[in-house]
Amino acid sequence: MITWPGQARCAVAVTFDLDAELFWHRLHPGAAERPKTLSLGEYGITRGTPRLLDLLGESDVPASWFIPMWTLERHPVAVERIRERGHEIACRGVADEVLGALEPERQAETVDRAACALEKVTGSRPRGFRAPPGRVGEGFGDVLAQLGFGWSSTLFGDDVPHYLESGGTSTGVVEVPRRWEHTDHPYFAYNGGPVAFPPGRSRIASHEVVLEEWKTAFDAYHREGLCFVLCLEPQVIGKPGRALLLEELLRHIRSRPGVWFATCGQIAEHFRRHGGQNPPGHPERVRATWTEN
Amino acid sequence: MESRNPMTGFSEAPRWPGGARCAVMLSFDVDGPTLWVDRSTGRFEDVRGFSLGAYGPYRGVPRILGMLDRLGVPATFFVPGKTIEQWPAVVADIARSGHEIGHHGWLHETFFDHPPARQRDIITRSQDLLHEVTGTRAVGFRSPSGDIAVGTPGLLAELGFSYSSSMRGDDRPYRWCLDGRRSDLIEIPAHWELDDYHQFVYHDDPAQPRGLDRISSTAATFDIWRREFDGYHRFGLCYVLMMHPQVIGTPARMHALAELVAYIRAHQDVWFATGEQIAAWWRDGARQ
Repeated sequence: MITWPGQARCAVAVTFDLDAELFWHRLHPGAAERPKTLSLGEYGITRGTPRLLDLLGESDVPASWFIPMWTLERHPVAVERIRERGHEIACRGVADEVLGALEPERQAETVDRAACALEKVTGSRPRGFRAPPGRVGEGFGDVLAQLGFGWSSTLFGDDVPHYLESGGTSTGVVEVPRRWEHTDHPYFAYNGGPVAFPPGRSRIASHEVVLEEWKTAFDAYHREGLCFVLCLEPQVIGKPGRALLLEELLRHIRSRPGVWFATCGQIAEHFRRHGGQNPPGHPERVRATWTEN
Repeated sequence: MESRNPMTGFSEAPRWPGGARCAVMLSFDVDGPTLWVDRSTGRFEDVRGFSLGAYGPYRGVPRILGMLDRLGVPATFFVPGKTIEQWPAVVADIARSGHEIGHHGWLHETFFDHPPARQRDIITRSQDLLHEVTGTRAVGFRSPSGDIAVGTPGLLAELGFSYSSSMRGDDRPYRWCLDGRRSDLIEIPAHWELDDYHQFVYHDDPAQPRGLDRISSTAATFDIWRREFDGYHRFGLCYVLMMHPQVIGTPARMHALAELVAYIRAHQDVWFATGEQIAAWWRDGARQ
């Protein structure tokens, strides 16, 4: 198993997907004409992001922000503020494209467009990528490697970093895997019809239940020496009470000995230096030998 | 819109009257059976659904008025015209108790679905009836489901409304920008997580919620509301609870609400206000 820098027992990455109004546009084309629905996403930019930036600053926690080109073009000031605070900025595609539905060349074109847009604003080529929602194709790792990405945080197959593989060979791109359980919107995001989320309009989870869930999960990652990745959206976690929930969670994590708060990029770099190859049976290796029937 | 400076951070909390740290608006949408009938005709097919909604004005509102009176806090009731027509005595009671009555359509229409002339008719018809029953006209408007059409705010301004409470995009009031200009129409946004309806409502046919999810526990919902209040208080914002008498008006939920209000009141620096008071404060230069 991987060891972490210094005396750290586990790694913690706090990540944000700055989808803003795009979250709702992706669900339903009718969102464009619904001022109330779009205002849910706008909240993430105008209120959620500044509140979270202040909270991260007070907690001295670095974060990785995944920015779609769509958000970058509409809310450049927000991206500038994130950059000014020294956080990591990574790529989240253009807008509502489903990568797995595109031919590999089109995938590369699309991701490159998004990366170039970020580079223009931040002055450096993004090293990390998180795919927009929807299926991801088999050639994903190759596309990222070809475009010079060093890491991704898209998949779910492990609790520690590993290499993305393609055809049984490492692409050299490090995956920092995540979990739906440590993502805020499955618990908290809500809107009524017709741009409904969730489609069955299930209840909003209580702060207390989710906070306990995340504390319990972190404690287990800490015990077992793994890499805990929180996936958050400012319009969801940036509400007044949920910001306090995040503050309490970060305080809980800090209270444990040997926690390494790091950006995904730092974690990927550490893995590149000290991690080994993917072991036999790893999802990335098995995929190469997967046969139909 | 002056309050919407996007990235100033949350250090600049709004100012509230008397040096209060945050504002609290208790609001009740007295939809009654309008949620359970044909929204274009007002007819109902199902007596069960009708009774589910009618519980609100019949049982819920008197219980709520009693609780507000005991705790000494004001509230705003958004009432569709059809509720006024069918329960005039209840609506007159609300008005007599000193709480605010706001506009909420005639049959809880989704304003997005109606052309401007029809929206105007809906607003005027309910206003006239409210005036007949209580002697006053509403100054506040909450669009049923929040789904205003793009032109609805302009119509509200033209018809003399002081404020709307339909959007979700902020945690404090702001001025609507109409035709590129700052208007006097104030928005007091609400939030899904501070809404009782989607947490508690349940009916088998029509299915509510759509996926027939479990009914949320009272403790879970009030945990959300209490923790969100703590956040609004910390950051100095405008906390708007959006409730429905047919949902919140049951004995146990009313008890939990009374406990939450007592918890909030235990903070010395909270301004309980109606939508009308909050809008007036905001418009009159609270932020200058």
